[in-house]
Amino acid sequence: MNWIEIGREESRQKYEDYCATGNLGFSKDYDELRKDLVDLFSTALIKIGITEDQISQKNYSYQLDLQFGLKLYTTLNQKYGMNVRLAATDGVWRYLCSCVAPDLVEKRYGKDHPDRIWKKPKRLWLRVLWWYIYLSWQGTEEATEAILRDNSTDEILQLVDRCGRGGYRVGLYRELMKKNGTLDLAERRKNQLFRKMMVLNTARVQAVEPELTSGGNQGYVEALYSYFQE
Amino acid sequence: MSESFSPYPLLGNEHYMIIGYASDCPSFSYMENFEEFPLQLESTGGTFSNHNGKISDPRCSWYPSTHGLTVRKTCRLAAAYHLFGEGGIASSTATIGIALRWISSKSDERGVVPFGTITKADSAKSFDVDYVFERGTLRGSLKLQTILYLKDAGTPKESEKYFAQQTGTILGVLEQEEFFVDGNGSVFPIAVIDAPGKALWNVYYNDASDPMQDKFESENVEIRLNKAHPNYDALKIESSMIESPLFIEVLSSALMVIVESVRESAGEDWENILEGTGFETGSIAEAVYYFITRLQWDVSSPSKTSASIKDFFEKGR
Repeated sequence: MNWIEIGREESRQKYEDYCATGNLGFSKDYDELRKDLVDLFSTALIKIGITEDQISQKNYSYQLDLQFGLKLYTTLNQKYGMNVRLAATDGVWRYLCSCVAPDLVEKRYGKDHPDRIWKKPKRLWLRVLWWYIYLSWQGTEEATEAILRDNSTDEILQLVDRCGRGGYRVGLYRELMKKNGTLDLAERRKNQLFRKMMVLNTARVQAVEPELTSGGNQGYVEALYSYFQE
Repeated sequence: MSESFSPYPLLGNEHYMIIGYASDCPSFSYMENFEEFPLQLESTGGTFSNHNGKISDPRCSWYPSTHGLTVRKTCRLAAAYHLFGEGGIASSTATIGIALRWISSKSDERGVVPFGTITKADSAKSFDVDYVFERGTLRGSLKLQTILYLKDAGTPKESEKYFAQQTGTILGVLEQEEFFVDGNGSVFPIAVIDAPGKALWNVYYNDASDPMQDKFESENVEIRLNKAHPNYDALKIESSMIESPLFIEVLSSALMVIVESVRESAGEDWENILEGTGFETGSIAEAVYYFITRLQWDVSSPSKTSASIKDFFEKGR
């Protein structure tokens, strides 16, 4: 796959062109990827059992993020050679969101969300989904889905937005997501436990490197959790 | 390194001077068809220590997206026992670990590689680390920090309770190095635009950006040269700077605008920038900190800033 990167101004222009004409303008090299994205999107809707106009109802927007995100992650990685290096490249996602699939982003967020299409590099929808799955990955799609099933869009925000100084500690985040996935649902919602654990973690990593503690990432996460238990 | 208040003793200059730390510049290589090839380091400026540079392949085959990267490094501690007990950074029965902390901030990923331990009984000791980064992991640069951390708190005596007790606590940074894996190591954001009727150049500065966090990239700050301007050819940007006094004038004025914009938008953080604390790697603030300290600019007033930037370019002629 020959990935195309574009700058912010060009991306804005492309999206405005799309808004004005309704035409998508992307390279022929992306034809198959575009087709895959559309297929994955509709397959995700079918799996959830909703139509496009129901996306904003109930917790469906999260369900779409999860189901579409899982397939997006595995398809981009396996079929198109996506990796961390590319996934950290703003221009790659800007091209995907503003040129290849702005219509899909609009179906998810509605019309007025430039942040998700070109404006904010860390908020581009497809990028956020890729990183959400990458940072939660448990070895297989099924295992990953199992720990993410009961989350909400708040967990996506809490996880992906906390890049931290210098970058993500991927092993730690996967352990945190695993722990969160095993907690009682009512307890999670009531106390916003995940958010609290992430905030505490941000404070602790200033002084401690989680992987180097005696219990490793797993023991460190247990300690974060215990902190909030009576 | 930035220093902030800590409730327990950390590695300080007084320790560093007596523990006899020495290290070799890391060596880099890669595998291709089961064969290993060495990579070279090119200096990226000369103002840095030896442990910085751009990684390049004499065979022109290695690229961070297509090949892995093997890093090997050796370091030595001649008198590590000074780190233990009174006056040290851990109790006399503790075990201190040594690890390589890596950050590739442009790929949003970081990690640690532990590679040795030290106790009070150790005299001179040598440590080797050998680590492979998978292809497609690194982007921009690879920052390596050699750190000391608490591996085991031991059984501290009553008089040693003030030492860090939590395993995994970072006790100090012995060394920091940075190696560029992409581009030429100079990532100064300059763009050429086509804007008929507009000025020869301008500085784009995103006022909504947070200089302490946001990256020193064209997203937030950019010097824009207008190729539609009649004087554009006189810039001679393809030639060397010596041949283009106009380009030097444009650059020095543009840098002045950038420094002043950061001063304006940083507010109270400006003091932190001058001290080199509290900002993210690769941030706008870090770039300005670099200008001020490494290039020795005097930014105490706008006129002094302007004068010292111009002096800097004069020296470079």
